[in-house]
Parts: sequence; structure tokens; C-alpha cells
Amino acid sequence: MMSDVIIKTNGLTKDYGKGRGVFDINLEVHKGEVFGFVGTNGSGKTTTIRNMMGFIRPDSGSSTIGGLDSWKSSADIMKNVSYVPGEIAFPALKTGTEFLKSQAKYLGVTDFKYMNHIIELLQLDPTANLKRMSKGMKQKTAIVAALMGEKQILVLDEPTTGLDPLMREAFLELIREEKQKGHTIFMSSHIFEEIESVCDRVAMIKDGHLIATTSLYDLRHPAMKDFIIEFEQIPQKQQFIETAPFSAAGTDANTCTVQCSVEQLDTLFNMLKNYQIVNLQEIHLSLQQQFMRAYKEGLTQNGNK
Amino acid sequence: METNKKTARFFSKPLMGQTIKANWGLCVAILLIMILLGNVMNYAMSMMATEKSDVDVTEYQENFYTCLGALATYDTMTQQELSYDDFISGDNEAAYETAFEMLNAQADMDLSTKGFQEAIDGLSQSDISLEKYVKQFEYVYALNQTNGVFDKEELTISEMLTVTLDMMGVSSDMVEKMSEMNPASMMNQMYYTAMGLLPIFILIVILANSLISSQVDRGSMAYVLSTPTKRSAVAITQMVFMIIVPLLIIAIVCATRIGTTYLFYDEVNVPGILALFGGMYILVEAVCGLCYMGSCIFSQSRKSMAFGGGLAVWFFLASMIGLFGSENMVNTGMGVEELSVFNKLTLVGLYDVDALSTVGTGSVDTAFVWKLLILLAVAIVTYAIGAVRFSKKDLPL
Repeated sequence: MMSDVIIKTNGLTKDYGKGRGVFDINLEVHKGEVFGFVGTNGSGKTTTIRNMMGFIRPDSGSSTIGGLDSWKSSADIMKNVSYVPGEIAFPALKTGTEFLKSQAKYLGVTDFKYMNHIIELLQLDPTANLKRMSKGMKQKTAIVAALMGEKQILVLDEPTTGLDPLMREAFLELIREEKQKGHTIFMSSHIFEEIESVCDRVAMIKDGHLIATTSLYDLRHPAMKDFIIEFEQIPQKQQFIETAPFSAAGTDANTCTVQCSVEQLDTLFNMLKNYQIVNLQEIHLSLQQQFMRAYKEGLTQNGNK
Repeated sequence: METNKKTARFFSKPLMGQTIKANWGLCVAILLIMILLGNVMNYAMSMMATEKSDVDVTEYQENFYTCLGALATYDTMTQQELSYDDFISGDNEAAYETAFEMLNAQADMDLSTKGFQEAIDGLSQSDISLEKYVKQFEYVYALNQTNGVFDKEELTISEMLTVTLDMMGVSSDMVEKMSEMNPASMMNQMYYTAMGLLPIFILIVILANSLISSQVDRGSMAYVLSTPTKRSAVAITQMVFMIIVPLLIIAIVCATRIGTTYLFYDEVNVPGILALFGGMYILVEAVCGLCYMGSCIFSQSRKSMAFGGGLAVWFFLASMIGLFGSENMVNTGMGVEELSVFNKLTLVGLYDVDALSTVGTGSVDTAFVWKLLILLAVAIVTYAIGAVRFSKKDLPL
């Protein structure tokens, strides 16, 4: 492959009318990347994924995986793609084992070592009756069914739905393992914490429009840092604000906020040695806050709802 | 980057395995019902056939009545009491010989005890007892003795019967037609165009829906299509299942039917039975194709079910109603000819049971050929439309 772009959508549009659908989605997922796709319910995550998997035909624009058009060569794409659907409904088979076996035949899997590894990790009992499985168990079974192919690309539609916090952690561990192997992972979710803990980059979608694509590396390693500093006395605060070589602003009583670049950190701490400080706190911008911010910007931009 | 698994383009073995696993129970149940229905029906028809013997006894009846008439004349002439009952008791044969000889001499007839005996033997082949013939002769003889009091016209049994029936409000025409009715043809019609079809119609409606539409609606199709399996492979695999299952079921039912026919009848028209079931298979495939097309077009299970089920129910009902417009039913007074319009409103109407059952007999009615060709065309076109549509539509998976 010429570039390392694995999944690419180009002006992808699927209009279901009444403002539903996805509009002009441009995404690029690079090889070996864990790409998060967040958005509220009904914002178009699943529609985008269905387009990428070739289940629906885009009205305009295109989606390619590994250089192949999703709609035209869907079946060939599937040689390298595993998919966990958002809605879990199994075929009319009796037990989980039966289902996994039949799935292995479709995928041409003959070595069950890796499958058993995932089953163990997720603590799944596949011998249970498919119809009587709880939501979490069904989800685990679906994950095992998809991952056992050990494909290069994983597309997961809200894969942690129904999993308890322990299992969610185990699942995220699995994702990290996959990433270690150099596999490309595209997962949608509305739980920010899990996206934040495994993803390299995140795209946010709202009402069918992409509103932001953020690198979580930037989020974790911002060039500019914000601090809240609380002084013992107000005059000291005033003095600090006046002499500081970076932007600082007083808030209430004896606290102030400071924004400085990473290189300036040394200067900041040297300065602070001369003051009596009660509290020093870094303002960490979580993905959720970032999302909320982008979301609100999206609101004012689109001007609807 | 490539795995060694090849893309399934036209057929998917695992999918076939899955389809068989999920549906074999239903198929076997329907098969058993159809075997039961077909063979019980066959048994009932064989019973009907033995009850109504088709030996022609008209000649014997004539001879018998001539002898009885002669005896009656002789009795009145000679004040004797010779009768059929007396004759068969057999201890007075000489008296009969004398009587017949005398009558032969008088009226230039050719009567003999031997002839009388032959007539009796011949008549006993019919299902009607000889006592009944004797009784009927009493009426015929009595009515012959005199003419009508007012119109001076001859009085006959058949006229008396007609008048009596008319008095009772029963059309004498109908009674006549009823005797001409062919119960075997009616039972055939009933079995092949209505009762025999119902179970397999139910099966194909359920199968067509569960093989495609229901899996798309529920989302379980995602597990097939997220593997290197083309949609065309899914469409064709399921189509193959829907072509083979009715074939197997109908073939097995046909085989058991031929078997039991050998058991119940002396002679078996094997090509005829094969033609009837072959025609039934083509009809079933036409309906199957329609259901399959519905299943491929609609992504919602209930819509596909409404389409396939609705059509199948309509075909069945229309054919049932059409049955009451068939010649046999009209003849029995249970039907009205106008109802036969319904046969034109159902695909089942293109399944010409009467023409098909002539296969293997001396005079083959080939009217069934073009009708079956239409059914075949319906099946091919609907299967093709369904498969193409499924390969091209948006799937909510």
C-alpha cells in the first residue's frame, strides 16, 4: 500500500431526510492507530460505520478500506476487517460454541488458540444457550466472534455496551494488545473515559456532521498548560500577576489562573519559590470537556437545536 | 496482509450448514404432515373406488328381467308360484325347465334355466344386491300392467322417480349429473390444489422470511456479511436451499404415494403420479420465488411476511373457492360455475390437475404444458429479481 492510510472516507454522505443521516464525513485512519468515534445517540456513528463496511451505499462521496471501495468490494475488504455490530442479534443457532464454530468456518479460522485466549480474557462461557445470554454475554460472544479472525483492521460499533466495568477494562486491555500487534482499530463509543484511555485520535460527530478531530496525544501532552494558584495573601497574588512573564489573571480573592508553555514551567516554579502558596492545581482538559466545548461550538455554528 | 481464506462469491458452505441447522426441524415436521395427508387421502380414494364397481351389468339386467317377466306370465297362466327366491333354493329346477320350454314354444323366445342362472351370476358382480333388482322388477311389472287413469299414458319407473324428486324440491337434472360425477377426479383436485398445498405453502412462507428478511431485520446477517462472503453468495445459497427443500419434500411424498398406491390399487399409473407431483413442485417453486423476492426486497421481517404470507394465503383461498366452481362440484350441487373465475386469480389455477393426471394414459391432454411453463417463468424471474435486489440494496446491519 502506498500510504499508511487504512480507512478513508471522502465527503461521505448518506441522507435519510429530515436532517437524519451523515453529511460530508472526511476521516482518515492510519495504520496501527486506535481511532475513536464519539457522538451522542443518533448522531450518525452507526450510519458511518455501515457505509465503511459496505452495508449501505453512500449518496455521494466514498469510503475505502485498504484502498478498496467499501460498497463495490465489500467482501474483499472483509478479508482484513473484523466487525462487531452495534446491535447484537445472533443467527438461529443453539449455543455460543456452535455460533463461534460456524463463524470460524466463515472466516476460515482453523487455529483456535487466539480465540481461546480472548474467551479466557473476557471470562466468557460459550457453552451457554445463545437466546438466554445476558446482554453482556452476548456482547462478549460478538467480540470473540469478530476478534478470532486476527484481522489487520477492527471496526467496533459501541463494543463495550453491556459490559461491566471489570470486563470493560479487560476489553480495553485486549484493544491495547491488538494495537501492539500493529492492527488498526476503529471504535465508536459514547463513553469518553474508555476512548480517552485507549485511543490515539478521536473524531466527534454531531447530527451527522464531523465537528472535530482531536489527537489524544495533544490532549495528554498539551503545549500550553493551565494552572490555578492560590496565594496566602492577596498582595502577593497581585505582585505575581504583575511580574509574571506569561498570561496570568486573577480570579476571586487570592487565587489566579496561569497559562504557560511547557518550556516556561521552570521559570514558573522558580518564581513561585518566593511566594507562600496554599494550593497549586493543573487544569486538565478531559476529552469530555473538549467534546462539550466542540459540541457547543457546533451548536452556535449550525444554529440548530 | 491477505489471509488464505478465499472470498465466497456464489456459494457459502458455512451459511448452508447454518441454514440447515436452523430449519431442518420445521422441514421434517411439514414433510411428515404431507406424507400423512397424501397417503390417507390415497387410502380414502381407494376405498371409494372399490365401493363403486364399474362392471357393466346392463345386459345381464335385461336378461334377468326378461326371465322374471316370463316367470310372472307363466305364474298367472298356470296358477303356480315360481319366483327368483324359489329358483335359487334349487330344489325345483325341473319345474323351471318346463316353464321356460312352454314359454319358448308360445312366444318364440330363447329362455332356459342356464340362461337365467347366467343372468343371475352376471348381476351379482354389481354392488347392488339381487333382492333390490327383484324388488325393482316388481315395480316395473306392476306399472306395466296398467296405464294412467286420466291421461291413458304409459307409466314408467323413471318418470315416477322424476316426479317424486321434483315434489321433494330436488332437481332431477342434478341427480343425473351426480351419478355421472367422477369422485376420483374431485378428490384429486382437492388434494393437489388445496389440502396438499397448504402445509408446504406454510413452510415456504416461513422459510423465505427467515432465510433473508428476518436475518437482515434482526441484524444477524451482519455476522455473515462481515466475513469474506459476497452478498451474491448469500442470495444464491439461500436460493439453493429454497429450491432443494421443496424438491426433497415433494419427492419423498411422491415416493410414499406411489408406494401406497401399489398397496391399495391393482394397477398404478406411475407416470401420472410423477407428473402430478412434478407439476406441484413447479407450482410450489413459483410461490417460493415470490416469497423469496419479497424477503429480498423488504428489510423488515413483518413486511416480507405480509407479502409472502399474504400471497400464499390468497393463492390457497382462491384455489379453494375456485374448487367450488369446478365441474365436479357444480354437478353435485355444492358449487356454482361462476366461482371458477377464482381459478384465474391464483397461480394454483395454472396447475392443471385434470390434464396432468392424463399423463401415462392413452389420451394425454397437453394443456398443462404451457401453464407449467408460465409457472416456471414466474419462479425464474422472481428468484432473479430477489437475488439482484438483495445484492444492491442498503442493509441496516
